[in-house]
Amino acid sequence: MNGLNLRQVDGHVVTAKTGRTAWYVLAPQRSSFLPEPVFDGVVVGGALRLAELVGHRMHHRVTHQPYEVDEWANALNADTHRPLPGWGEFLAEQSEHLAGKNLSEKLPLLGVSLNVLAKRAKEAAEELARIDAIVAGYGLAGRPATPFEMRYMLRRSVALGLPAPRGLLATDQIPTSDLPELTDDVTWSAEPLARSVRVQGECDGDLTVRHVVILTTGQMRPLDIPNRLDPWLQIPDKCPFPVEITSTIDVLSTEVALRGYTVALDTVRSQVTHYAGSREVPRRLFRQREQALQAEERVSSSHDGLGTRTHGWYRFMVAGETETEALDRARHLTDLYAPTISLVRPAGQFALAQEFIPGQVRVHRKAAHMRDMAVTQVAAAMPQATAEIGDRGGFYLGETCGVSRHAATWAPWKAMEVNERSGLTVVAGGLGAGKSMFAALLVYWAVRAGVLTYVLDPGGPLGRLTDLPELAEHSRLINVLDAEPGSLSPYRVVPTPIRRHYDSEGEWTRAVALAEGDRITMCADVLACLLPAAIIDVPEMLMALRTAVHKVGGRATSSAWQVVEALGHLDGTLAEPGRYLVGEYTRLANTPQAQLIFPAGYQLDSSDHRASATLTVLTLRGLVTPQPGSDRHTWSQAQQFGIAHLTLTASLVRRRLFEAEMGLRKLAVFDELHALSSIPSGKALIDSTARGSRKHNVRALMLSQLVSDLPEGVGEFVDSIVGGRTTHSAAQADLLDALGLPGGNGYETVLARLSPQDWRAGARSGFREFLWGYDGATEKIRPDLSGLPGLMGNQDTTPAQVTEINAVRGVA
Amino acid sequence: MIHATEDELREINNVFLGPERAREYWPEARYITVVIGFGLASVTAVLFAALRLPLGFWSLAAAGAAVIYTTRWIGGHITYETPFRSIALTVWAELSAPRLPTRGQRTTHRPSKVKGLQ
Repeated sequence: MNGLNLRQVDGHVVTAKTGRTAWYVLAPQRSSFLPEPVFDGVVVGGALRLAELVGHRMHHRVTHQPYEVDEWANALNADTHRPLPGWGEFLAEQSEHLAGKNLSEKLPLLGVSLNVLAKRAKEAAEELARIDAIVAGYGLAGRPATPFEMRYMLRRSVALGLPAPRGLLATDQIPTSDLPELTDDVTWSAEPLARSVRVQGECDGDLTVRHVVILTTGQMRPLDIPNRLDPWLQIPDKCPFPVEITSTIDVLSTEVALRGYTVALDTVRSQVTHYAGSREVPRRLFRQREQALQAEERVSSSHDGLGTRTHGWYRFMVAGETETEALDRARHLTDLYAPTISLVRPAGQFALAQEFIPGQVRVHRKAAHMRDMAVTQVAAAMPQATAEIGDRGGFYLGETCGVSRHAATWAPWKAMEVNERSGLTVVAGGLGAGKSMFAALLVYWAVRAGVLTYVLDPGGPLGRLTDLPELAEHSRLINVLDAEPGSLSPYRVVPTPIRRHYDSEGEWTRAVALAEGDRITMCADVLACLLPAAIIDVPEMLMALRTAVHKVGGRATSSAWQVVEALGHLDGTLAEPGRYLVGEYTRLANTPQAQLIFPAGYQLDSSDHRASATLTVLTLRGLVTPQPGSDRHTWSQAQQFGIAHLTLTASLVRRRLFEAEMGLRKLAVFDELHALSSIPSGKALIDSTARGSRKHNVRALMLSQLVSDLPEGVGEFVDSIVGGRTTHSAAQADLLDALGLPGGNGYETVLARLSPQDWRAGARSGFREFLWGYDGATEKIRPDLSGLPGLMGNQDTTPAQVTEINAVRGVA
Repeated sequence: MIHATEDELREINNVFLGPERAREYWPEARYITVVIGFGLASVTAVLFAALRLPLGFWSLAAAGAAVIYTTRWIGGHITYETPFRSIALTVWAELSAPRLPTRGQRTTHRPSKVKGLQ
């Protein structure tokens, strides 16, 4: 390509024949699921910044960078302290998988023309500093573009539509002698009245040709952002192909804007006079006069700058390997904008394409398709809006699937290690929402990374994770109901505080006393739970039980049998209830389920029972738990035992987590949250796990159908929420509340339509979707198991698939 | 927040209904179209004079029809979205755009390196 008008790039200032422009990179702005007042605040902030740039010409320039897979892999690898063998190969496979996704990141730039000539150095520096400060303000949050970003943007502009350049030098400056290199191997050409521009260039040594089509904004209807329309320059992010954007915007002074309205009013007046007496005056003229008067009033009375008007030209570029492909993509983009905003493909494609190169052409103020907008409407375009969520260098969970596609990566221990927050995550959603699948994905990544993981999954599919060949050697599957007598002794499952975990003797002593108190509470609750509600509702019975438990004390070596013995030795008014309870517990203790609870279990800890495995899955096959929300009086004996076993097993998991090295990364998954929270000890267990998660570096996942299963007061410890498809209105309201989203704004429909089923095809959807609320943002994500085929097959719970798996295993 | 647009305000149809006494016979046309029509008529008159074309009925009728047709064609492309000046700029841009080179490039090949001759 010949004739580049670029003369010099000095820092973030580009000097061209057409003038000097300072370029800034706008900070990513979250826009999805943002409450409207917050969104409006950002828009107003941006509008005020733009209003401060009166007299300047601005440019948006949006381009894309490929997702830096190597950077991600290196960061994750550096943050993984003791991975399992094979981690390197696994990470390489995942990098390859991620690279194949063609994910990209947006690079939104804002250019502001400089009006002071460079030779007036002092004034020019002052002007630049003033604009730097304005662009850095709230609403834009821009920073000067780095030389690398400038070089990247210039190269992408010159090689318009060609694949992203690789291996660009990240130098401190771009020497003027380097500028010809930008155009050396690129050729643009266009035939008369052609529908596209042909761009030819060398990419990685290969000659590459792309046909680019330029679209421009035409008429617009009133824009209701964000309720009915996304920020209107973020809409191209929905396309499955990259769309480049450039715009030229003149920020008008009040005088210039008013002059325009005066001309319009004069024209209307003249037309009305012209029509009078001979023909009927079109009503439209009266409407236009009314609009002009209102607009004039708005501009002249606006003292805050929000009435400032702009004239702008907004261009979109799509590219294809053939002209047909490029035109198809242009049609796709046009359809995305219709009917609110019309996009047109004007003639003069070559001239329009040149607008994408900074400083190449100066758009004439009489150029076609000029849009007259208020600064608020320009600010609401928000080209910097993004759907990014999660942590860079974390586990790859999937992609965002709302407005745009981004890699959703998560470093689950960053909250505790860096941000000093708790590690509680609630995974909520209706039946089939994919809660277990999400947990399995996270567990798989964590175990491969060598994170100590405990999963309490009473009867779900997570136990099958231990069958995976790559995890089998490092995992254990324990059916707690088959464990040795005393395994779930209420005195054993409460952790004994370890001296080295406490700074002072006093703190440790207090913790020991609290642990003894926990054991007493746990034992009383569990023994009460084993009795029918009608018995334990009698105050004397409960009093007798509590007295006996207190007499036994809270030592780790105690047992529920000692409580039964103590009940038999009660005197006074409690003697009779005590004797009755002895009979009841003696009868219960003879059942097989009670063998886990009644004997003392401390002696099991001296055996090799605690041999470490990276993944331990505790199941309770055959466990019966009551229906969520059911009355305790209706519980059967099996259900009473079910609740007791579940609570005690969860406590055992907590003990394992809290007794491990404090700083060690740990992951815990608790399913059946509703059953856990049905007795006080279960609630206390959830509460203490949430509170202790930061100190003990535990990421705790709580799986439940309802967020309301979370005990009161624990909500403030929730660090992140993963919400799956939910159709019940009360459950939706709870979930939205937990996500910090207002009800009645259509988010209920979003929840109900997650993981859509293709009913017409009679097929289930091959993916699951969630709303992920994390670190102040909420995004719709789609977990991606396609790069983990073993895990996908392992966790598929459809009957046909399970039958197939069983057939392979030789299970009848 | 609803952002109203002022597109309709910019769409004022600035039409000329004709001289006051002859409005019934005058076609409704925008001022810009009238100006273009007069401009084209003037150019046509100059061409007639320069090329010494005969000023007969049929030649004048043909020239008049051509001017009206051309004026309507150009006028049809001029809208508030694409003002006259932008069309002129676009025409210039189309004419000045670089074309794909169609002539072959001259290169030299040694016969010994050409397949089939070895």
